[in-house]
Order: sequence, then C-alpha cells, then structure tokens
Amino acid sequence: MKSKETRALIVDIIADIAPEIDLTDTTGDEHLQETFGLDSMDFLSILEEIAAKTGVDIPESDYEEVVTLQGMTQYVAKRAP
Amino acid sequence: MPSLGADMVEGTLTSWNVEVGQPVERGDIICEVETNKGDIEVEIWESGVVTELRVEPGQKVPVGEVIALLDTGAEAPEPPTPEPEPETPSDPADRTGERVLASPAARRRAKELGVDLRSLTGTGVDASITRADVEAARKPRISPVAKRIADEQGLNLHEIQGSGPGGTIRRADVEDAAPQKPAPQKPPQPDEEDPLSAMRQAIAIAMARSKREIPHYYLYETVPLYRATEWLRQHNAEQPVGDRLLMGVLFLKAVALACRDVPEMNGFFSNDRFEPRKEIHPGFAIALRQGGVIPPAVHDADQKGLSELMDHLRELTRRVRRGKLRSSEVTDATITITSLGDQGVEAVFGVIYPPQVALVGFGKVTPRFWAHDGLVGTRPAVTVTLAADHRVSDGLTGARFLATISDLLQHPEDL
Repeated sequence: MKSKETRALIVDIIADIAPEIDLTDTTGDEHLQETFGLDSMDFLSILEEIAAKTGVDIPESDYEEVVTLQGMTQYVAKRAP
Repeated sequence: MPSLGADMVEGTLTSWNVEVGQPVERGDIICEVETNKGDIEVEIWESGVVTELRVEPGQKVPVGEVIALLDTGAEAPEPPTPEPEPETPSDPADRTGERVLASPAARRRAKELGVDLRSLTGTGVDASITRADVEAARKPRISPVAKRIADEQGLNLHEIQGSGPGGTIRRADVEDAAPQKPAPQKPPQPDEEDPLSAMRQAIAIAMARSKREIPHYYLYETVPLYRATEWLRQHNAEQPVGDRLLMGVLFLKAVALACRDVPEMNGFFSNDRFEPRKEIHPGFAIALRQGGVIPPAVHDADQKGLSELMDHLRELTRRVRRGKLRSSEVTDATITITSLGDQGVEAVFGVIYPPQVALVGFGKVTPRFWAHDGLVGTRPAVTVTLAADHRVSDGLTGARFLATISDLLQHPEDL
C-alpha cells in the first residue's frame, strides 16, 4: 500500500473515532495519545479499524512503533497488500 | 420530561419515535431529548398505548412536565387517562419528594395542564397552591416555529391569543402580535447555546450539590498489578485486535464484584436514608476531549464476562463521543468509576455523583518499588482511591471495599 494512501486512510479512521481532533496541520510526529488526548479505548478502536480495512493486525508488542501518525503509516504501508 | 441525571433541569424534545395509538413496551425508545449530555434516547418505563403527545419536536420543557400520555390498561376510575409518573430513576429524592400543599381543584387543573406543582409558588392560605396559580403557570400551547419567533421578538406568550386548535398559538398569531418596528436584538446568551458551557453548568450543579450535601471521606490503597498485567499481556498476545482487553475492564469488573461483598457502596442516598441496590450498574466515567465527562451506566457489570464488558464499554465510548446515550444509561448508575491512568495521574480523589454514595478512582499503572520474598524489586501497581459517603459507611467499611478490589485484581483469571 502506498504511504500517502495509507496516511489518508488512517486520518479518516481517526476522524471517525475522534471527530473532535483536528489532524489537518499535523506533522505526523506527535504522540497520538499524549498530544491529541486519545485514550486507550480510542487507540484500540483505531487499530481495530485499521485491521478491518487493511488486514494489518498490529500486535500489542509493536504498539511502541505506532504511537505517532507517521509511525502508524509506515508500519501499515509496509505490511498492507 | 424525565430527569436524566441529578444535574438536569430541562430538556429539548428533538423527535418522537412513537405515534398516538401506538402500543409500546417497557424499554422501548419513545423519543429523543437533547440535554447537556448530548442527545439521549428516552426509554419508556411502562407498557401501554400512547394516547397523546403533548410536546412538539423543538420544544424545551422542564423536568417533570408531562410530555405524553400513556394508557397502561390499568382500570382508571374515571377519565382523564391516568397520567404516567415522570420517571426519575437517577434521583429517587424527586420521586418521593416532599408533598406539595395545593387545593384539590389546583391539583386537578395541574394534572390536566401538565403543570408540575413543585415548580409553583402558592398564593393561598399557608402558601398553598390555588387553581389561579396553576392557570398562571400554564404554558401556552404553541407551535415550534411560533415559539422561536416569539422568543426572538421577546414576546410574552401569555399575552398572545392563539387561533389554532385548543387555543394553540400559531406563527400568524405571533407575527400579528409582534411590534412593527424591527425587534430589539436579543442579547447573546452563550450559556444556552454553547453545549460546552451547558456541560460545565451541569457538572457545576451536580458537583456543588455533592460537596454541599455529602460528607465525603477518602481512602487509598496501592494495589500490585503484576499478575493482572502479565495475564493481560498473555491474553492480548493471543488475540486479534478486536478481542483484546484493556486494564480498565478488569478494574470495572473488580469494582462490580466488590459491590456484592460490600453493599454499602452500591445504591442511593435519598430522603435521609440509604437505599442499597441489588443491581450493580457502575457508571464508567468517559472524558470528552472538548471538555466535560459522562459516566454512563454499565448495566449488571457483575454478571458479565470480561469480553462482554469490553465490547459494551467500546460501544458506550463511541456513543458518548457521538452524544447518543439511552436514558437508562445516564440515570441508572449505582456507583461511579473513574480511571485517569491514560492522562498520567497517579491517583484521583473523586467527587461522588449524587444520589450515589461512592466513587472509585484508578490512577496510572506504573512500576513501583515492591518488597517480595525479602527482596526489593519493581512491580506494576496502581493507586486505587475511594470517595465514600460518611452518612452511609465508615472508614472500616471503605477499607474492606478497597481490600476486596485489591484481592480480586490478584486473580484476573477469575474475573
């Protein structure tokens, strides 16, 4: 999956789960939970949607790699068909 | 208009899901009401047939006002149709509140007009409420459009003659009554329009009442979570993302089970006495990023498995974020749980949500120094706090409650 396409998909998923968060000016480096106030339930819901839409199921042991939008994009883009 | 929480004084009916003549069953969603907690789907508490809808979509009415009539099939001695009691399950004080002094004629008229006697000031003997008081308080029937225009123009509804059925005030009546000159600009009222401000006001009402009326006492205990963390890690490693659990669900279940052992924490304080509840419906506080917090009830949490609770909590969180809760979820909570671990705080000392009598707080799960088998190491642990009502329980009972929660969390596989 292309990186740009993946990022757009993830931004859409976050917008659906946390509509009050504005990601338009994000650099992608911010910690999603700490900077935008996502709680662990939101975070899990995002991962669930990613798995449903791309087939990439991110295991708990890899959570450290997906704490930012950029990290999440790279992780998913690399593994999604 | 049901009271959807101790903090609610009025609500705007946004839509009806039923029609006149339609049979309904207990638990059916009959309408949606816009409140300071978002749009709430209101469930009916009795089965019967809808005989009248008294409030039109768009109308804002105070708590306690009759919004519809329901024929429950009970044998009424004479017409009019028996009036359903406004349901206020969250605040039993309102249900059995003190008796209002009013003349029989005033009571009859109040019932006919759907006027809440408790909201009136009497002018009769011993300040009793007379029929004239009820008539004066009567809310004129008015169409939503006419109401909006009248509000914009600052018109007194009592001075407008309605030409519609039953004297209903229509748009034309309002326009006739409006002054010809442009209406004076109404000063902006951000408090009414701004939902965030409404939420803050709601919290202010409930929390001020809590601090005014409830003698809180506070306890805390540091609970080791080594076993719970390990169990959760193993469980989640084997599960696809949709079936993983959060530590918060273990906290929720542990509190629910502890309520069985220490019933003094689960119930309501009203009319100067404690009413313990058999049902255990913890309200799980969900923070709104735009400000405010809503603790919807997780019904019968003690009887649900962890996966079921997780699914339930996930769905509740979604609906809280979208402002789509059901009336029973905002009114039924028998105890509140707040978990601020995600925000990084170590401990949270809460304010009890009246008429409940206890609130359990969980902080962040962090590694702490821990002595075990004569050696000092680090172990994940959480600080669990209890704010409880001293009218109902004492520190000893509270301590037993916290100890029970702690014990339960040492056996996550049994939760």
